[in-house]
Amino acid sequence: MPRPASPDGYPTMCLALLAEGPAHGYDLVARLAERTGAAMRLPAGLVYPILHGLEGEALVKAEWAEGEQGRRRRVYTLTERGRHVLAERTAQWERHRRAVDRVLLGGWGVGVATHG
Amino acid sequence: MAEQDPWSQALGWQAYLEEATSAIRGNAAARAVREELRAHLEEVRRHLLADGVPAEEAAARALEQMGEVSAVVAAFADPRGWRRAPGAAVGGALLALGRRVARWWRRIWQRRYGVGLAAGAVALLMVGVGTGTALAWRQASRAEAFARLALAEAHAATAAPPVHQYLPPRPVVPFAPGMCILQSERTGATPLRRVPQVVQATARPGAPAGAVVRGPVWQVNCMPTVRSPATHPAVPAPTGK
Repeated sequence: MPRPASPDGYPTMCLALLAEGPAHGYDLVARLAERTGAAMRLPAGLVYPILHGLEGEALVKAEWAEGEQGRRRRVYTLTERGRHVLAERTAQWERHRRAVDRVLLGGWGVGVATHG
Repeated sequence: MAEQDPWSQALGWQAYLEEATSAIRGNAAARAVREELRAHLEEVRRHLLADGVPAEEAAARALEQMGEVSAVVAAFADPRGWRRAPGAAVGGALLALGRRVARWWRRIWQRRYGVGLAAGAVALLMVGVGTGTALAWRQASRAEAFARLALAEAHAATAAPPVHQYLPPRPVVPFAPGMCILQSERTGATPLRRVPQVVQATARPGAPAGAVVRGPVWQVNCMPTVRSPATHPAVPAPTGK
């Protein structure tokens, strides 16, 4: 399974997905797989420790909600602090990505890499 | 679990969930996570069923998608140091205090024999309390092992998929027919550590219904449950708690 280069990759991606709106764990797993073209298929069991960690840092808040047919789900919502941290991490990632691009692509991180 | 889950499926999920949440401190927190993970499993299974996957396969595939249980356990084990910091601080303070007390004691010992003995007795008492606490924790671990034994026996009785990791090599308590619910029970000086609060288990056929089997710190309440008549014979109505 490919891993994000940043150690905070998965938590940050979870924050980014939650920035689009509240979601429960299953929803996040599905959206992550969909957005990455199934390139990053995080085992569902690992999403929850991540979410609980984010909750512990007060970056997200969670509450039980009744879904369709009375099914209970724990829905996660991004907090203001989470939004702030997401913005910081996104900026960090952007800097990191540009630096790597300069090395790998030989330019200034602009343009398209061609292989072969 | 209100849906028509096959019993063996529920049991398989339960074993996984118990294991996955074993690193979480606090029964209430672990129980809440198990509920959340179970809701996820239900969601996956429901989608697979909607896609036309057979029921048994859907349950197994839902579990597969959760990933390796050891990875989940490790992920739930909080790596953040700040939670250990208070413990380390208390330990450091106790060590410093111990060194100071030892120095005082040496002085007192040199000057007043009786007071020195009293200080020694206090130190011994503290060691005794510490040892007692350690033994109590050990007893709690045994309680957990007891619960796992019961669960393993339940698996054997229902011919559910084996869970070798839960099989300690010891005999187990007899079960009554029907579904058993194992509940932790606080007893006197035996504080329970994080233990599976509720373990669902299936009875061994032939034992009396409604029996209550008590272990060292565990109580097994047996009650009939509605299951498939094909795999489980009908059981009588509950006869009590």
